[in-house]
Amino acid sequence: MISLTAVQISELTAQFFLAAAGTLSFAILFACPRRCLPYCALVGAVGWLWYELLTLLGADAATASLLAVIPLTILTRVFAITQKTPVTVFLLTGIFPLVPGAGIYYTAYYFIQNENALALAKGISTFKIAVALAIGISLVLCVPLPKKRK
Amino acid sequence: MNSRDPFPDEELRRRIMDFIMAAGQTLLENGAEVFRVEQTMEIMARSFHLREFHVYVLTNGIFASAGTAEISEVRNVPVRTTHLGRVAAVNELSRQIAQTGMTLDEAESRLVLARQLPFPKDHVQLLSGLCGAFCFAMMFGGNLRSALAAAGAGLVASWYLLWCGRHEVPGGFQKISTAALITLVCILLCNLLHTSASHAIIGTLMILTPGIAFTMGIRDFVQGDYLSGTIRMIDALLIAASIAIGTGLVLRLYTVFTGVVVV
Repeated sequence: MISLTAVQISELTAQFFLAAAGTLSFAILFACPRRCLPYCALVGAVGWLWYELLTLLGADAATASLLAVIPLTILTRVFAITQKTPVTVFLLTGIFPLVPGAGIYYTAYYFIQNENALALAKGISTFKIAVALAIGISLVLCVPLPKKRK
Repeated sequence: MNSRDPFPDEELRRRIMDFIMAAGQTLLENGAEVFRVEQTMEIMARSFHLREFHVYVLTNGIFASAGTAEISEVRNVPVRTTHLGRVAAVNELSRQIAQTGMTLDEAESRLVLARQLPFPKDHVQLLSGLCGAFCFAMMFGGNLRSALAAAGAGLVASWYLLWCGRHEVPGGFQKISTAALITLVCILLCNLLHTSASHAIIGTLMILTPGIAFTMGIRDFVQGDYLSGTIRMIDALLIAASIAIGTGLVLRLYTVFTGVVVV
């Protein structure tokens, strides 16, 4: 059974709001329609919360990315239908916290420091995360919607 | 003249075609995926009774013909920015055209309005760059001091990107130099605040990360547009490489000049 301490829960809550604020910043930068901004923030925050939760439970980065991007993409599709706005608007902004920016940085860092084995390991794990995200997104986007009844 | 005539005459057909091409170009320029552009253009053509409309869209070009190829147009779309507000507006427009009997005149003026939706003001862009870098530095395990350093670097980087946009600095150089600038500012600020630089650097680099190119690439692949998807993926890969080069350059030079390895 999953049990979290109070400290962990408060940490997760803080991460949720940080992710929401971070995603919101990017949504503004990409000029999303104003009424969509809160939804964009929510998508990003939910994705990141799942990721943090799974990491806390001991999943590695690629697994956590895959399992976090699935609820995230489902949420974007729900909002796309309820808000009558392209999925792109929510997906592009919401995915940002999960993009392996740290992986790119550490790969370059170790490469420069001549730590070739570490650089290779980081590079491969970054690539794995990217593939996991790709699989997760395509899995959800490929599920067909029921045809509208006229 | 009724523009929703089931059998539009030749002049009207040309106007409809121009309108559809402009709508498609607006979508493509502002960050819509290939499939959406094709679908939207086809819906519009059907709504305006433009017969035998065929369109082929690539990441940077639109090819379309109507009638038995009596009208054909090609648009080159080399510029790509991200303005999701415009994408949503054109999408809304196509839905309304399909659902209501909107005339071509009205649709044209609505499209012009959608194309003129402004980008966020400079200070808003600077502020969101600052706020984004701060949040991401905290999220990736930084403490408050490294997040503050990231906020400073985010502000500088957003300002530099705005300046690059004004002066039409080429994309590759822009990415490399911004990554280098971010790394430099983060190292200096973190030295000042006595904290480790890596979390601040990662947080600020999120401004540059190829999230858009990557996600759009996947979306194109999912829809079976492999060529466009490949173009996007190469784009994402090049951006990632540029970030690595810019960051690596500064990290290395810093170590060479000061003898201190950045942690």
